[in-house]
Amino acid sequence: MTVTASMAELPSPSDSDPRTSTLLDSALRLDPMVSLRPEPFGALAYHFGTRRLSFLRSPDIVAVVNELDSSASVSDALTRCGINEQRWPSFASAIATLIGSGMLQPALVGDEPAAGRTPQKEPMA
Amino acid sequence: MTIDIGAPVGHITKTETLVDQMKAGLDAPICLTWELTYACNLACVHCLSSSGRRDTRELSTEEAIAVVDELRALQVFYVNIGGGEPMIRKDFFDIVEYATTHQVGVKFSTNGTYLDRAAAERFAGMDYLDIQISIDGATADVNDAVRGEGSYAAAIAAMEHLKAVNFGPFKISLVVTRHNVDQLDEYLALADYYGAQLRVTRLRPAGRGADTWHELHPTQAQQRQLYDWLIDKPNVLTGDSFFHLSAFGEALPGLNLCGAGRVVCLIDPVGDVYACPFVIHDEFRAGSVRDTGGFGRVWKQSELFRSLREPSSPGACASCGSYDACQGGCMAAKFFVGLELDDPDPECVKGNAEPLLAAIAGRATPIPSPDHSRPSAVKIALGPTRR
Repeated sequence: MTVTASMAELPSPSDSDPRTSTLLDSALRLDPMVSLRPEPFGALAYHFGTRRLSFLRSPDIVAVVNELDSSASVSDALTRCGINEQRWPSFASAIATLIGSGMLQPALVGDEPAAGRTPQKEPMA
Repeated sequence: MTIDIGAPVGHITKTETLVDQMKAGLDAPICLTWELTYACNLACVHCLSSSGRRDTRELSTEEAIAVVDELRALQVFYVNIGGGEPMIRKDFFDIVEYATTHQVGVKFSTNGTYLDRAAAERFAGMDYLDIQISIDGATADVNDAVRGEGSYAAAIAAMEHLKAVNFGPFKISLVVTRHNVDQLDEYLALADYYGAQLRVTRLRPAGRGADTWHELHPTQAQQRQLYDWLIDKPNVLTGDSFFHLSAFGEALPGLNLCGAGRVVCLIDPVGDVYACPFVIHDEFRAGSVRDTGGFGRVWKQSELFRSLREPSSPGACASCGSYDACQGGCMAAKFFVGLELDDPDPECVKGNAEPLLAAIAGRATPIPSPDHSRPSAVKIALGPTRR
């Protein structure tokens, strides 16, 4: 298996970073081809299309990711999960990583909250 | 597969944390090898599973489907199918199609013999399927010396079929030996020609490889050469198999730990569960998918797997400054050459295993079991080394 520590290469977003506020305002969804597997440390996210495996390394980020589907924005999901605002930059950073690895994608306008997480069959990339 | 270590949120940010979590074991494997049959048309001299003859106790189609159902329930997202030659099974397509349409992706390894145009077309129409063709030399002479006459041509023919049907990027897999280590660039060119990804893995002294390892494993100078090449080619896949080389300096990409029983395991053709694909031996047999509770119970509760998840001692490696980098190397490699599990890896790049190997020279080493080699198989003339 190949491991890439992609997070290490990204700048750490902060409150003043315009990218953070843009990200917090955006509506995101778990890619329909991604499945989450609960683990003691959080969860594994597996993308059936790209065969990428990512680690969600805290139960809180798992809760937030699960909440994205029914939230209008990332900040909405963070609020609904009761995440203290001081911790939002680190969540924004983790979410940026998940966007970068294709686990999360922008929600389409009019997207209904997903009913289930069954990956759809799609042609191999 | 690519693994993103990801960002921890709100607490410790060190990669070691994740590695520690891995060492303590996951709720299900993330890298599971499933050998569907011991039957094989080839008799490779380094075969990890000593394959050749079909085992009459092989899992039936129904049992294999039940294994897939269980893996799906455990969210084992994909399996590495091998053998033997898995395509020999009459129900090979049934099992693979069932898995890939039930959220268990498949990557299977084949020698290519049975991968004709019709099979290639069928594969091209399937999702969640990766194919890995084994070639152990970039040229027929080097390959056929270990895999048998005609095996290079068969693999090339299979790749031509995959290319012709536009299967997409498949993988070419090679086991690095002292005879093919100088051909790595040629391999890369071969992979590029077919639009394939190159995967290189480590030779283990397991199965029939226990007999040939001493003649085939790379020399110390070649290990350095291999390490430099891998550092230079981060896109070449390694299955995390060369972590013992990380003691040369910069760590190779990967988790750099022995995943046996922690994130990795093997289901053999008769349903026995072993700690990893390289330790098919009673000592590392954790149970069977046929036992009450099935695979899940073996993974979660077997005494062997639970012990492998306990913190391990660096043993004889404690005084070496590189233990954090190489973690003492590969358990299977140590076991089959007769070293203790807390000894250095037999291919320790610091040479720390050499005095130990010299001291045990002549002593009996564990005999890989079970052996499904065909008695009629022609021994390739590498010279017997079994002590």
